[in-house]
Amino acid sequence: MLCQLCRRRSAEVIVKTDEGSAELCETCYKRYRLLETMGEIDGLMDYFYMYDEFNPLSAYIVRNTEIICPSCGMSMSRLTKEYKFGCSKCYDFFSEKANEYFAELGGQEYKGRYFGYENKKRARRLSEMTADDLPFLMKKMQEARDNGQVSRAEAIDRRIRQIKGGKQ
Amino acid sequence: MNIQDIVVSSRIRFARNVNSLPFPHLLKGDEPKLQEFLNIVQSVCASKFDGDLFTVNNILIGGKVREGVDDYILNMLIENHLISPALGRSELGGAIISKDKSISIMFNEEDHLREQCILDGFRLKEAYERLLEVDLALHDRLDIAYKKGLGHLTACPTNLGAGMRASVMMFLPALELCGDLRRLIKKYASEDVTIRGVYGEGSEAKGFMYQISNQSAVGWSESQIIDKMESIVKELCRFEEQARRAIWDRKGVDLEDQIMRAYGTLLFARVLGSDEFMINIASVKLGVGYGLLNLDIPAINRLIPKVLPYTLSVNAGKALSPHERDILRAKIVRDTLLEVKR
Repeated sequence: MLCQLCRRRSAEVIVKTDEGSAELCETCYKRYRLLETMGEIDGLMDYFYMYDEFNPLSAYIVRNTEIICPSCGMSMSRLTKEYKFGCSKCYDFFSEKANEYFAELGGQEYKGRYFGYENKKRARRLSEMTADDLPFLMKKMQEARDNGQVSRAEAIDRRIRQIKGGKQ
Repeated sequence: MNIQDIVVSSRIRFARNVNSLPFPHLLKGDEPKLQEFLNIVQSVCASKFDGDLFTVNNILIGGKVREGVDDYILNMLIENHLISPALGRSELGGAIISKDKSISIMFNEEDHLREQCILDGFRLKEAYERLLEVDLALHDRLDIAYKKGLGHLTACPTNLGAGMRASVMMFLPALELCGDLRRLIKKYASEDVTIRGVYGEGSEAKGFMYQISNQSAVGWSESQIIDKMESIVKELCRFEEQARRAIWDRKGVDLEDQIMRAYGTLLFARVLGSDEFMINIASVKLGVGYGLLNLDIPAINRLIPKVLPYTLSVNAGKALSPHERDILRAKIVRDTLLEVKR
């Protein structure tokens, strides 16, 4: 998809604001961040209006387009109405709403199970794995591939790349 | 009084989702990763317990189209609490149910997985432990949706955290008859615990059977939820015991007469309607609690689901008219009551 502002480069960033959302290329996004930080613009709409290739259609789209989860298509209005998220990624995409609901429900952090099951095998989550677990993860990824568990293999591969990229 | 005479059954339920699929209310049948998910669930369940697969509609699983069950079986599963009414309405839903009916793994209900374990009596921890074995195996094979701090990610945010609900089915006739139950329902509601009728709508319960369960417990650990539910159940048992003593002091022989008439009706009736059965069996159970009748309560508890309308038809192997059901119910009840003398 092309950047909604310049309509020349491919869109790479989704900007979400209270006014609406827009998909921007890297260049337009950087300029937006810079102008916003400097106080030159007052939000996304203002940015579209001041852009030298001002495009009323783009501005209209930004103003009227709903924020949609790119993974499942859930919209903010539907989420609010039905009180149901559309997929696990919605919790990141609509993080403000998720945090709002979480606070309404008591906002107490979940720290995990447990009675006295220390002696039992505990399923560790991928997000808990660190660089020390890389050999284990490589083995598990191969096992998942051998067993045709594509999603599982992809998830492990993602985590391996995150760890290798420095994200713990 | 034995706590097991008041607590009919204990249930633990986990809500789980996978990262690779939209949640069921947005899920389409042709979603590429749906097959992989269903195959894994089926294979994990097969490795953990001996069970049967049911699907609500025709669904492709493991390369074969599974035919949806007919309405009688579907409603039989619902009235026995083996699947939820919501699953019965789900386009892509189904369940794998263990042969002993204690474990049911529902898929594509409100969440991708609704795992539940039901055991007779007051055994929440045991139900939790049994279900944990299956849950850990599913965690091992599936990319379960989880976020640090929030816990398990679920379609409805009220299930965040442990994604667990602990429920206990209780027989509370005295609290209902003396009018204390309404006050207690309000009291526990403020602690996020609900009490509602098991057979019947709202707080009205046929046969004085109530389900007590935790509502949202975001941030709570599994042990905290179970500890809290256990303490409330014990408290309710104490209140029920006090109420039974108070009713006995007030009604005495009239209550005894009511109980014995109910026992007589169940022992000799040839045609027994569902409501009539529920009212009389409750009186009989109360009679056992007072020591007036010497019958095995768990066996009576097991009788109740056997004579529910759809279960009767499914076990008879044909669609029965209401009158045929009433005749069959009367026979099963007569035979069972003679067998369950202690």
